[in-house]
Amino acid sequence: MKKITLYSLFLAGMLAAGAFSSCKRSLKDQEYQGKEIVAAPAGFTGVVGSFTACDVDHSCLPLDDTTTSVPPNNNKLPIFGGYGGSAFYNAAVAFHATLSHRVTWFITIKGRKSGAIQRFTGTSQVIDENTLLWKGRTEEGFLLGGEVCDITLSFLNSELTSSLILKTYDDPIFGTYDYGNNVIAPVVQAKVQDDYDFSVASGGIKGMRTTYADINDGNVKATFILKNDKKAQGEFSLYMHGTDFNGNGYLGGFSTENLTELAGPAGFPTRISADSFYYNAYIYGYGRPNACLMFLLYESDNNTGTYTPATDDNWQYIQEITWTGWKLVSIRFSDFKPASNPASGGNGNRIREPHKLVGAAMELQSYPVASQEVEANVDYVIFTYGGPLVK
Amino acid sequence: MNKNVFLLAIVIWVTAVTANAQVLNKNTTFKIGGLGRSILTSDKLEGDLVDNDTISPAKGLGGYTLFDLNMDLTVNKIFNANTILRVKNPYGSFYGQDTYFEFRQLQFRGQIGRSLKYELGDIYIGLTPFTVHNAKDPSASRFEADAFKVRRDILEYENFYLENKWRLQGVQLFYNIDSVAVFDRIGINVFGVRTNATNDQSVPDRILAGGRLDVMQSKFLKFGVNLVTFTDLPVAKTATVLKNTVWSGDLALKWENDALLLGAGIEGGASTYSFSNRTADTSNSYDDFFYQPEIRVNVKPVKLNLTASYRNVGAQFSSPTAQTQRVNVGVNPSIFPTVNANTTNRGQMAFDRITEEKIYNRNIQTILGAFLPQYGNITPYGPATPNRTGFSATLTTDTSLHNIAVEVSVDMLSEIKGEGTPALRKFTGIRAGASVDIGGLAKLNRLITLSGGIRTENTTRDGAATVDFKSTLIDGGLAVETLKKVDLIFGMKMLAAKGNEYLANRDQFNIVNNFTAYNYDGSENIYSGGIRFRFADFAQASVIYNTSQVTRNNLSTSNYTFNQLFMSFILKF
Repeated sequence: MKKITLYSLFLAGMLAAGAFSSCKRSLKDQEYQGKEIVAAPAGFTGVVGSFTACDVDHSCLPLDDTTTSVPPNNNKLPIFGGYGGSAFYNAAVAFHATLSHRVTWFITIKGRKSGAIQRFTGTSQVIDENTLLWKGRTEEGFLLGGEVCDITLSFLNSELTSSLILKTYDDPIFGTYDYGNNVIAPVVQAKVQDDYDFSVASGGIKGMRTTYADINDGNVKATFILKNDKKAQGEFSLYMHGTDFNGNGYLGGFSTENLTELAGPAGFPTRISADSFYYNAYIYGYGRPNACLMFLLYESDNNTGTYTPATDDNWQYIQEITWTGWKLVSIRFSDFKPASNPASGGNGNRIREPHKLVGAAMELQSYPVASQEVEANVDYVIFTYGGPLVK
Repeated sequence: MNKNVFLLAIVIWVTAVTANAQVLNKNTTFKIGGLGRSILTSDKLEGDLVDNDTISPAKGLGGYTLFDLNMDLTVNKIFNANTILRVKNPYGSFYGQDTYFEFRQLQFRGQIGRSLKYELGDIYIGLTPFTVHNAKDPSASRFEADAFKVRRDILEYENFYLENKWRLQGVQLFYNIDSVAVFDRIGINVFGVRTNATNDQSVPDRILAGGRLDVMQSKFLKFGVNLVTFTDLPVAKTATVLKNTVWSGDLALKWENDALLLGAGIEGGASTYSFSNRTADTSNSYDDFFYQPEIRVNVKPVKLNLTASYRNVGAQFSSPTAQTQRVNVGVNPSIFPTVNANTTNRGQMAFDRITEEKIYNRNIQTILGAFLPQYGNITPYGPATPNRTGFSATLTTDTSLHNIAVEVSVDMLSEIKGEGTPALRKFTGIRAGASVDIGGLAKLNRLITLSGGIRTENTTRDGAATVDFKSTLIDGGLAVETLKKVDLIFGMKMLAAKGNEYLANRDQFNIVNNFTAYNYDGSENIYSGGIRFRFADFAQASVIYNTSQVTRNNLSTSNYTFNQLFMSFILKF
């Protein structure tokens, strides 16, 4: 090889060595990645004693109250909650078990009716409130109010299981939300606007059920109906489907009936920040490229309790539905834009004031390209303040 | 979109034809190419899984006809416009009701001056296996049968897979200059693409930018520097911000004479990752590195290549453009997607990985995706799979050997950092395959090709959470030209796997946080046979019957057989 090649090689090698010496490995001092896992050893006998649950917020009272509900099998039925009757109920459940060996365990909570699931895992010989607290959060779906849940304790590399039953209180969605990663958010309060389950015997909250379709789309207008084949919570969701035949982008929408329902004592606390007020909904997308929902919020700036387009604010947010399947969408009020037309809600004081909200709506649109066929489902429309709805 | 797109296409076409007619200069050309494809499948699901299920569909007929019109206008060397307009019509729609038009590709390119080339719009980017690399599905074999290759070609075309490059949208520049100082050639390639668009509210634009400086000092020495960075451009209320940078340097030495070629090289580099979630007020950042030295020997008289390498890829080496998997195992197949009275997703089988276009990724994922160990457990994310160290060796026949191709490769790898336990997984993998052109060898002037391959993987771990997972994948294929341009084609694929594993779950920071125990004891056998008509170099039709038997030894009610009659007509010019 030529001498110049050797010089080049030496130079490239030196540069590489210099650059590489600056590399570092963040995990270097960590023994392993992730949570520790230990398979059940030979001689493992599972739970020593019994597997129980208690309410941590109330002196860890055992959750075995039979007075407030009739259990399905007339055995003692642990009740989750049942205290205070506040709509904003905070609860934390601890599970107790002592195992024959230190092992990786799994606790699975599954609602019998909703199918909602929450899973926990850990590695220890004792399970107690220091190991695990459940605050009612579920990772798949929502538990229904008053729903029986099966709690199963199982172990890695073992066929043994232990189980118990809990029953949820009222609406388990209300309360403090666990943001994951052991970070508990500031108290988040919530107001469910519509879960689209009102027509079901189990009850539900009806708030945004008034639907309307664009009359200019001709004889085949968009449809807005309750369907049970897809739901994020409970048993129904609002299904909407249509084609924007007249090419104006608008297909219809749904709202609170009179745009006054959010006003008054049932409304939101005064002086809360628009930065901490969220309009949340579960939205199911079908992969339609131009499916879009416009979130709308209506204020009564003069505190009459009614929204008047010519004098009040109408706030808007465009959410393109680019995904397939369910997705929780949480829009911060401060991210909404004011309506631009003074005749239709663009003439208020242009200040985002959650306590002045009187109505809410969503519009189905063909956007950004008009004239398209679009569809979506919406479920569990909920306003939260203090933070977004977190699942 | 359809009406507007169609009108726009007509306008562009008319403009192009007009431009051509005007003959801007003597170099102006307008070319038309295209691909037409018509596919019809008749599908049936049988077995324990559907025996008592009267609700889930178990029979079906589907297909489509599509045509991609490729229009290529070259005004001069400075400007070339290339578009592909697609018209697709699914079978079963009335009077074109579901027919749609779309632009499949829009690209401008050209050359400015003597050395600078540019590309705008839809571009293909690719650098090294650790920086930008679209790694192949680990269950795919180089020696797969023609009966499967017909299907795999379709899904690769539909997903814009070209070699190991990613097709994205942005701008790319190439600058090459010869004979600079002591260097024979210096090349620079830079690109910038947007992988995610802002909503102007809370979602930031995500920009992928990078490039390579490539220096050929002489025929003996070549080296380069690569840089790739993901950056979020925050808007006012941005909820999350990602920053991921990967750099690497590579060097290759070569020496050869008439009998021997000796090569040596190395690629090494590092990644830095940071991600902040402003909504949850959490953030994380980490660094890691990799290196892979390699030696190469080509013994020319016997037409054999030997490559041996050692790799060390850190557990937190984060290179999304090299680690994104092609197959997204979370996507349910579109044919018979649900079973058990429409309550359960069927999930993917090996046959879906050959035939189902929609389970393949087109976008870069910044969190390592899930994978199924039976389809590839050693390097599921390609050569840049993190947390691997050890030796690999490959012996292949030289490309100058036309009628026989043989390849044997061995991987002896282990983890660098344990997952959930200090104990490390050990991986042993062997791949071997051969393809013989019998027609060529016997000078029969007709196509007779026999191919076969085997891949075995063994994963073990001792300690508190033992792992023992084995899989074997066997490929076989035969193509025989019976009449002129009429081939009988046969293919089989047999997968057997058994054992236990722990699948890592990753959090929003792409960090392993917990594990899902995974037990598998089953097999999948695919047998295909049919006939292929090669009308011309640009047109062929095939009728292939496929049967895929899925057996789960530890889940007796999950066994099923998927039968499919596949008919296709493909035209490419």
